[in-house]
Order: sequence, then C-alpha cells, then structure tokens
Amino acid sequence: MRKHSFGRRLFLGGAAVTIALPFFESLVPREARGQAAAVPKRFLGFFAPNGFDMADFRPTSATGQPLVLGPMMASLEPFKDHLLVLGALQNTKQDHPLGDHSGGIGAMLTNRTVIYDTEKMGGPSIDQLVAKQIGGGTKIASLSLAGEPGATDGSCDSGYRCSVGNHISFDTSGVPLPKLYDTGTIFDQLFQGFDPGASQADIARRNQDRKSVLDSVLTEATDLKAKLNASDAAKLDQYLSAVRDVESRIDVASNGSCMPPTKMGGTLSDQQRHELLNQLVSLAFQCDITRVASIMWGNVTSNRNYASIGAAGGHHDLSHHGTNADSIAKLKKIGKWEMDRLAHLLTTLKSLPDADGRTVLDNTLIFYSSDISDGDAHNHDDMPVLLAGGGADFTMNRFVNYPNKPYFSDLFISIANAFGSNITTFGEKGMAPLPGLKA
Amino acid sequence: MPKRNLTTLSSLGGASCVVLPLLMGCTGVMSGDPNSHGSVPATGLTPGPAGVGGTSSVGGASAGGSSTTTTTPQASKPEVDVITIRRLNRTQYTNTLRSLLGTKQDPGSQFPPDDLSFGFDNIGEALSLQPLHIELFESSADAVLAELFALPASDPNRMKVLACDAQTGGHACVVSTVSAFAEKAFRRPVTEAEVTPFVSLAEAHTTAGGTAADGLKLALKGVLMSPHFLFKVELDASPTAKDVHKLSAYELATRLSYYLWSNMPDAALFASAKSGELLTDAGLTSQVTRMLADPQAQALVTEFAAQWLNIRRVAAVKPDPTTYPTFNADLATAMQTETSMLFSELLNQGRPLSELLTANYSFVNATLATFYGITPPAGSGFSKVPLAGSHRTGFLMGGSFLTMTSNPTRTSPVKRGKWVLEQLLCSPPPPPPASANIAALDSGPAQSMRAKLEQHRAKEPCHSCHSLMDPIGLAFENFDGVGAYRTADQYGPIDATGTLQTVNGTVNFNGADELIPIVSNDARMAPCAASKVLTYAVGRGFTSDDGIALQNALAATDKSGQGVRGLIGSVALSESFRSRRAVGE
Repeated sequence: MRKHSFGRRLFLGGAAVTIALPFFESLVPREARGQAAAVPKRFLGFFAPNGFDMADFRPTSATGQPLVLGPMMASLEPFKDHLLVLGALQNTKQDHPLGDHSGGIGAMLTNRTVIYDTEKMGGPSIDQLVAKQIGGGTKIASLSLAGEPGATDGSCDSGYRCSVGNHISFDTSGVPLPKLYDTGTIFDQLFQGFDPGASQADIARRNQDRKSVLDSVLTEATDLKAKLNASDAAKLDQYLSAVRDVESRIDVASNGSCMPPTKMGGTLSDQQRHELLNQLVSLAFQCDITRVASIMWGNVTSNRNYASIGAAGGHHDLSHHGTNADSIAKLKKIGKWEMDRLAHLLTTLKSLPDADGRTVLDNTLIFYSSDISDGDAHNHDDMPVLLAGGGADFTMNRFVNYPNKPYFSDLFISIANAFGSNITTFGEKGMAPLPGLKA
Repeated sequence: MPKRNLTTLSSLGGASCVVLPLLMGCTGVMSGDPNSHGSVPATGLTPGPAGVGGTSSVGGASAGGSSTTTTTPQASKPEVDVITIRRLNRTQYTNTLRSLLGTKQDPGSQFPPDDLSFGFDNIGEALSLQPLHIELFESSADAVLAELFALPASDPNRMKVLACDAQTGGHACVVSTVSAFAEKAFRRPVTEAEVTPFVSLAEAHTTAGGTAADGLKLALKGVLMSPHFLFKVELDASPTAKDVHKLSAYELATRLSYYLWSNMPDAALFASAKSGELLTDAGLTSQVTRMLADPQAQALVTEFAAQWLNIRRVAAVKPDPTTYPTFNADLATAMQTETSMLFSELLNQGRPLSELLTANYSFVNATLATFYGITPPAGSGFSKVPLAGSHRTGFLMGGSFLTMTSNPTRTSPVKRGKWVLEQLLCSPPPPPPASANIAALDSGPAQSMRAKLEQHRAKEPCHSCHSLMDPIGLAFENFDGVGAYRTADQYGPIDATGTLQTVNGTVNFNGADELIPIVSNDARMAPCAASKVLTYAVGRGFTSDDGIALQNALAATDKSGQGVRGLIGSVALSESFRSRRAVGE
C-alpha cells in the first residue's frame, strides 16, 4: 500500500553505474499519485565552477525569440521547451577587489556581498527560501550535494573563509548548509530509517523515542544557552533550530513512499559521479524525500583535470586563458561536457513519471550558473544563467537578454513568487521581480 | 568592528607594512638570521605603539588596502582573544565515541567535512550545526549503542559502561549507569538534576511497554545527543562578563586532550583536573609530558601537521596520468606517510623545527625508495634511511610538497614559492591585483617555465610579489610535478638558480639545496609555526592579543631544548591556552 519497490539496484559506483538508469523504469510514484493538487514543485540550484566560454554558451537567437542554441548546448536541443536562457544578468561579489571566485560562489544563490574574514553570509539563499516555502512536509527540508570533497586543508580563495567560498546554500542566519560528497552517505541520508518490515506500532514507538530524546535535549540546550555569551548562544541557536527541524519531520520521515534501491559501492569517474548525483537528486524529488536541492559540481577554483575529454590541465588554470587559443578550445570542451551532463539530468527527470501524470521535469525548476562569467576576465556581469524545467510559470524555449544588467536577486524574487512566496525584495539588490520571464 | 584575525605574520618585520598599499605588500626580505629564534622583538609581536596591533592581517585580500581594518594597538589590551564555543569536529567525534564505548566504528567519516578556517577544521566559529548533523548524530548514536548492547555481558567494553543489569537493577542501576556515562561524556562532574531527564527517558520508555535495556539505551542516546557532549562548553561568570579568566580545571582538561589527542580526557587527566593539580604549572607540565608520550599524541601528526603541511592534499590533487605515468595512489600514500613520519620524528624526538627542512634522513618504503632512486629498505614497511646522495633534504624536497603544489600537467613554481612564504613564513604575498593580466602559463610559445615566469614578472604590478615567490619556486625545478628528480625538462637543462633579498643583503643560490638554509634560518619560521600551533590548540584565529603568549612560548621552547615537542608543550602552558574571554570589547 504505502510502499513501493523499485525492484532494482542503485549503483553507487563502479562500471555498473553506466547501467543504472533502467532502475527508474519500475519506480512507482508516491502514494499521492492521481491527486493532482498534491503534486509538489521542486527546485534545484546548480553551480558549475570557473565560468564558461560565453561565446559558445550564449544562444544565437534574438532576445525574446525561441532558442537557437550555441554549440555548447547542442545536447540540450531536445529540451528547448524546458529551457530559458537569460543573458547579461549580474551577480554581486565581495567586499575586496580580490577573491572573485569566493565572491561569486557565496553570492550565487544569495546575491549578497561576500564579506572578508567572516564565516557567514547574508541569508537565506534562494534555495533555502524556497525550502521554507515548500519543504515543510518532506523527510529532508533540502539536500546539499557536492561533486568534489571539501577542502582538505589550507586556505580557500584570497583570504576569504572557506565557509563562504565553498558553499552556495545558506540558512536564514547565513550559516552554510553542509554538503555531502560521498554517494553512499547521500544514499543513506535519503533512505535511512525506512523499514518496510516494521509494523505501524513499531514505527510509532520509534518515532516517540526519537521525539522524547530530542525534546529532552531541547530543554537542556535552552538551559545551557541562558548561561552563554551572545556568540556562543548563537551556536546553541543553530543546535536548537536544527533539533526542532529534525523533530518536526520525524513522522513524515518514516512514512516513505519509495522502496529504496539496493546500494552498491565502487569508484566513480567524473562522468559517473555527475550522473549519479543527477540520479540521486531526481530520485529524491520523485519520491518526495525532499523538494529542494543544491549541487556544487566543484569547489572554489576547482582544478579538475578533464584530460579524458581532451582538455588536460587544471580547469581553473585553463580558465585563465589569456586569450590563448588552445586554452579556450579546452574550455569549450569542458563547457560542452558540463552541458551534456545537464542534458543527462533533464533526461533523467523527464523519464520519471510524477503523481499528476506528467514528469518530474515538468514540476521542477533548475537554476544553473557559475561563480564568474569568463574565467580570465573574472567578471560578475554577463553571467551564464539558464533555467530548466517546468516548475515555474515562465515561458520557456526563449533567450531573454537584459541589457540593463539586472541582478540575480530580481530573478530570485520571481522564482520565490513562482513557488508561492509573496516576497517583494531579496537580499541587497532585489527590489522587484525580473520582467520578461513570461511572454 | 571585530578585531581582524592575524592570519599572517607577514608584516611582523616592521609596522611600516601596515600603511603600505597593496602593491607594496611584497617588500619583505628573507631575514636569514639563524640565531634570532625566540628573540624576535623586531617582529612586533609585543602589543604597543611599535607593534602590529590588530592591523597585521595583511595576508590575503586584507592587503587590499581597506583602511577600515586599521586599529590602534592598546598596550592594556587583554592578551587572550574571544573564542567561540566549539562543536566536536568529525574526527574528535569518532575518537570520543571510541574512548567512551570502545567501538571500532568511524561514524565521523560519514559526516560532511567540517569547514576549514585559518587552515584548520577545529575552529569554533566555522563549525556549523545544521539538521543534517543532528540526523547523523542520531544515527551514529543508535549504531554505537546497538553495538554496545549487543556485546556479551562479560565483554570489558560493555562492563565499562553497563556495570549493572537494567532489568534486575531497576531505578538505581539506571541512575548509576547514566550518571557515570554522562560524567565521562560531558567531561566533568554532573549533578543529579542534570541526570534526571535522561533517567526519565528510560523510565518513560519502560512504562510504555519497552524493555529496561532499551530504556537505558535511550537514556544513553540522550547523553550522546546532549549539547554538553557535542560542544566543548566553557563558561564565564555571567553571559556578559568581559574579563579574561582562567579556565576551570575540567575545561582545561578538555582543551588539552582535544589539542594533544583529538580526543576526550582519560582517567589520569580527569584525576588531575579533580585534584586541581592541572591548574598549576607543574601539574599541567606533567600532564603534557605524559600525554605527549602516549600513542594518542599521533593525532598531532594526523590532524595538526597534516593540515599545516597540507599532507591531505596529496590525495586530493590528481596529477595527469599521461604526463606522470609513474604516479599512483600507492605512491601518493607513501609520500603522505613519509611526511607524517618525519613530523612524528621531530615531535617524538624533540628535534628542532628547522630539521623539517634540513633533515638528511627520511622514511621510505620500497615504492617511495624506488621512485626516489635510492636503495629500497628491507621488508615491506617504512624505514628511516639516510638521504645523502639522493638530491633530497627534508620536507620541501619530498614528494608530498612537490606534488601538492603542482598543477595536473606541470610544476607550478609560483605555487611552490607561495606555499613556502605562506605556510612556513606566514608572509603570504597578496593575491594578484584586479588589474593584473594573468597570462596563461599552460600554453603559448614553447619556452621554459623560467622564461615564461621571467616575462610574466618583468613589470609591475606583478614584479614586486613574483620576485619573491618565483625564485623560491624555481629553485625546486629539479623536481617535476610529482616530485621526481630531473636535470632537464623538454626545454633543456634545468636552471634552478635564483636571487633573494635577505637582511644580510642579496643572496644568490643554485637549487633547492642552497635555498633550504635561507628558509630554515629565516627568523619568521619559528613564530609562524607557533602561531599555527596556537590556532590549532585553541580553535580560533591567531590575533595580536596572542603576541605575548606566543613570544613566551617561543622562549620556553628554546629553553626546553626540545624543538617541536617543546613548542607543542609550551603552547599548552601559554596564557592564551589556559585562559578565555567570552566577549570582545
């Protein structure tokens, strides 16, 4: 009744990952199927590091016109009806002339100034704002995933703290959301606690136990907080609100609608890892485990070596192309590869039936961008921005150019409104919704 | 505005740097005085009119010329800066659960990485706590407690925690078990009032029909979810108290054990806290000596040194397999082990800090020996071997450093030079100004790295900084992007000569052999290392307020004659470590 089996294994690594896609075929949508009104919308913020070769990224169609995709987006051709490319938007940056990468990353979903020498951003980021709006009834409020492990040591970018240079999702207080890299851990996070053999009474008992422990430590933490100075008390506030959030989701968390696939281990190539993240997010969306996610494909100044696609060298090193033709050619290849992986994500989402008889892609909005525009110029205007999916009431299959360079925050107001929030301002810059999103 | 953290000591050579604009950020010279360790008044570490005050954060982008960062040093300023309450990081969390319960599980490895700040992952301000952490704390507690309760009744690990039978022992058993467990987990004595809510968890569970064992398990889970366990709580007289004050004995015990062991205090340290001995110089010294002799002090290598020397990065960089076919995961691990063992040697044998760079011995296995072209040691493990005739000396000429500062397909003399200035001398050059046109070094006309860099730094704004970084990095050009020795690259014979300005004038050198003494004798190296140790020890950024503590620690280190070991101990004895201040002025 309330649980359905995928009847397949979800390969989390190894060569087998390449045949993982078919498991989705048998995936049965959640119980809410058929109740169109209950179908959730989903939001994904996606960060690709080091900018793009904008000549290849930019569509060649005139503003407001149906998309004529540039060479980088060739593989997105089948998804034009789910694609809206926005030209000449700008992002805020940071409070020093240096640290453009951290500036662009911390600001990507917040559109707020990244401040030197501090661990926190202004918040919330747009994904967290949307999560507040629509993420209340799911097991996890939002999911933050990473394509590279966290910085292991050292500094991050020009003296900016790693917390603002290696995160795109920030809560209302500006504290970064931790991101998960290990695919096995992500899997566990999505599916742990799911026990198809348990009786309703067992589940009720377990939930009561969890709640009683969390209630107890809430009381304890409140007492402790009263004894602490302001900055320590702020840390206890993080603890308190985290406990409250988890406690509020206990009942829904045990009420899973999808039987977890079997997990398999192994090592992953970059392509396998990216596509697995695509699948995990798609699965979490379809099973309504969460409605909001963010993915950072790379860390600040990611120096991934794309030798396997003929672009040997470090990505960040190459991005400082100095107009060198060889470097630019490699950057075009990397950008094309990243758009190919986006096409894989859209393919996956489109392959998943949703409860309203449409596909999960129809009910998802993806905001895709980077920290900077051109890797050599380090500019924060003329940013690469695309929206994908049918989750908002925007008119897709268009290129819309904005010669007056509005900020991301205007777009974020529009996105928030599309997800049911009535905000009229966002961050430091956003004072009105972005015009032109609906034809 | 908050006092700027002194992330670097780069202007310690003189207060004049404070007012220099960005492009002048690289006018420092190598100090080259081997006898100035521990007596570096010229560094301006002493707060005062000639000192650096809160303005020394010229590291990184703060050199960007923001005048708002300038404050006037106050001679009367307390010498201990504000610290933010620290959550256990993921390594400490695993270690602590292992000490508490004897588990072999590694729950921390499932946690998202803790954010780094000031180069370390144990900084209170950066250790966030989000719902994901709570869920992971819950599932980890469930897993380790399930393991404990599944042990046979005679198992020592079980008996250590579960001394009585909850089924037959009733209320008294639950109270005694929870009290004893909470006392260890909270790292201090607990009151009855604190324990009662956990006991109530157990009793509510059994009242609802659960077993006594499951009820007790729930109570212990409550302890493991408690903020008193998950945070290292340090209290002040009141939430608004501003004074600098000594830590309590138990608070100090906790700081000390997580500093030296990345773990909770053991019974002997608790006893020293209980008796109050730990609050005396002699008592603290004796605990430090004891604890450094314990195998758990290896955490200083795996946590402190690994982060300071960026050893972990060796596993994260991915040299291009086509360019470097001999590089593989085994070799990377061997390089990391080599560096770890070198630091262990300095720590355990009390060797001088400078030996990090000048050691004429190293630790290799067959894999690494073959890669270095030296005779492989007998057996399968690592052995200490002389480096004479190997073209190598110390850490900077080992595989770890040379690999982790390279790009995937080539060496990066700039990164190597910058690393030495930043991590060893705490004098990072500021990042390139926005106006700098960063030419691509990866392509363009076929010429040597040296030629490209010379062209690149010919003019300002590049010249002033790159004339410091590049010669240091180019001295290592005899080592390729994974640290293999070479005498030529595709452009011809390697030229590893260079020139640096030092306090003794212009010094010419040829290759890393001749560069090493210039770096190891630089008066900035000891205070730089000490500031890294202090940052790691207290879990906050190093600030000018720590100046006196740092200087005293350096003097004590010299007096001890115990080198790196002495430095670790001296920092534990410093006021910055033994005191706290909750609120800034």
